[in-house]
Amino acid sequence: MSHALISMHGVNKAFGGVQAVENASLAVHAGEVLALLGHNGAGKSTLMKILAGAYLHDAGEVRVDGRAVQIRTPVQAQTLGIETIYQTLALADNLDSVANLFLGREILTRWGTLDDYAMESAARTVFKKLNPNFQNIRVPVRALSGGQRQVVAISRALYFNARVLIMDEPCAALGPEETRMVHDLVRTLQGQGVGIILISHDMPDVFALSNRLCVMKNGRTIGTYRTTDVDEEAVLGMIIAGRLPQGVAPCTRMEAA
Amino acid sequence: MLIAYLMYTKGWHPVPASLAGLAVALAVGLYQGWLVAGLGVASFVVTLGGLMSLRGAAFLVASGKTQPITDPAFLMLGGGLDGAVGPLPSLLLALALCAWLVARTAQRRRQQRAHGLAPRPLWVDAAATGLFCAAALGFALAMGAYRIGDKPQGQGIPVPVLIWAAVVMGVSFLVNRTRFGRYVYAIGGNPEAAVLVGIPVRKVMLQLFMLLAVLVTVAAIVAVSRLNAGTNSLGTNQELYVIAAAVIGGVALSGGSGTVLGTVLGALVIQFLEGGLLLLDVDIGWRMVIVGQVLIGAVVFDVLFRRATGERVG
Repeated sequence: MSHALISMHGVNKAFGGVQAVENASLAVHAGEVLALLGHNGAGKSTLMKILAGAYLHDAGEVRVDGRAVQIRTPVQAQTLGIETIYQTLALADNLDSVANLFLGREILTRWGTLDDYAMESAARTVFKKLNPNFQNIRVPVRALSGGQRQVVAISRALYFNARVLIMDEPCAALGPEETRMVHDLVRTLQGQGVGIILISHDMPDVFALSNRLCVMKNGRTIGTYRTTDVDEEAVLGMIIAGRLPQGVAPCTRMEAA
Repeated sequence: MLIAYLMYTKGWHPVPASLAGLAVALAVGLYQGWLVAGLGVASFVVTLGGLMSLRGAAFLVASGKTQPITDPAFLMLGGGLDGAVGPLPSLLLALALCAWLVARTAQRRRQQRAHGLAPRPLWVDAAATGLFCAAALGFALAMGAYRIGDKPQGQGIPVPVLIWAAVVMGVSFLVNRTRFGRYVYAIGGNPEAAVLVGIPVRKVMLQLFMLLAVLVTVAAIVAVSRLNAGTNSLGTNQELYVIAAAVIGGVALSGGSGTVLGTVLGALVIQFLEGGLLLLDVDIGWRMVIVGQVLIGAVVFDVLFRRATGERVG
């Protein structure tokens, strides 16, 4: 079989004296949802920001399609097809949703000026797919509801054809209906062969969506298993006590399987 | 000050003197921009310290002596008796501006339809365009009818107003139609998000300081020419008027919002207030008291308004 879409091998990252990520390894394949679990401060977000190009790792290797790459900036990550939906959504509150969707990647006219109307009509198409009721796309994002803001953030990943999508707590602030919308979306993207890394504290989300789960503790990836092989109790044991489940085969899929 | 010094004491031609001034402004902008964008020093501290030492530098240039200016072409830039373009050209310029506004609006409506978006109702666009056209034509006619003493023809639009209009149009274009302007807003709204989506924040901030340097040079040239002289105290307290104009015009001190048109209106409000109080023969002391209170009032209103609309107060 082919290489993993993305794999990280023995990645380290320290902030000053704090070792935020230590010898972390994981891989995500096409059409797969990998849940990334762990305490607050376990290093999940840092690990993902390394993938997204927001941080540079100190040691270790990141591979895309089996080739070692250096992701130095968010733009490079985007070029490699890695899109990230941050927990904070990373929206500029004072701009409208169209401007936010294309932030950093504006559509330009022949003269190099912003092509607002092309962006607006493209944005309407994307938003309509996610939420048909989303009409007020020209007001500043701060005036939108949590679900609508989430739609804007997700659209950013969708519109630019992500190959790997990192979702940091995508359902944390959402109501039941919006959560279902996100779930449907994850399954659709999975069906299209996108590799998804899902950071979540919510066990029902994790068990409903993920194929495999990877637990981090104190900056290390301590165990990766098939979601169907473990139950909630075993997962909580890993997260809280770092206790690996007995008699279950790990499933890291680090190399071509 | 430097421009005036080079022209008067050194006998330079206005053009190279102005370019030298621009070069110095750019160098200062580069230095301050590097401190703010590169090292992450608070811009307030950098610019306040800069203000102090640059005032000192302006004093040092000519040991505090006033540098009078006599070049007639340069003095035109500041307006005055001969610093206007005359009634007919004024009217033509205003007409050209109107034609351009109408064409712009028509083009916008066409583009909106082309992309399948409903344009605003025709009468709204027509009314907005008509309002601006009427203002431009009215201003040109009024200035054209204005005669000083026994001069044979009217004054027309003063040159500094034309410079000002050009600056306003240039900056609006940058703000509304280019990536640079969009990024400036994004950084003001959420600097962290701007980094995460891959906006080159440092580069944009540095460019912003450069833009500021260019605008300061333009302002300095007009101010020197208006006064017919460069003095080291030129523009004292102007920084407060600038802030007042921006805040009255709706610029958030916490960053991220504000428009060129709003700031223009804010500047007009302040100047109307100043001019009006002057014509009413209000004491200089009272004038300062009143303008200061208006400034505070504007900021108070800004804070209250933002609190009412649920925006975090920075």
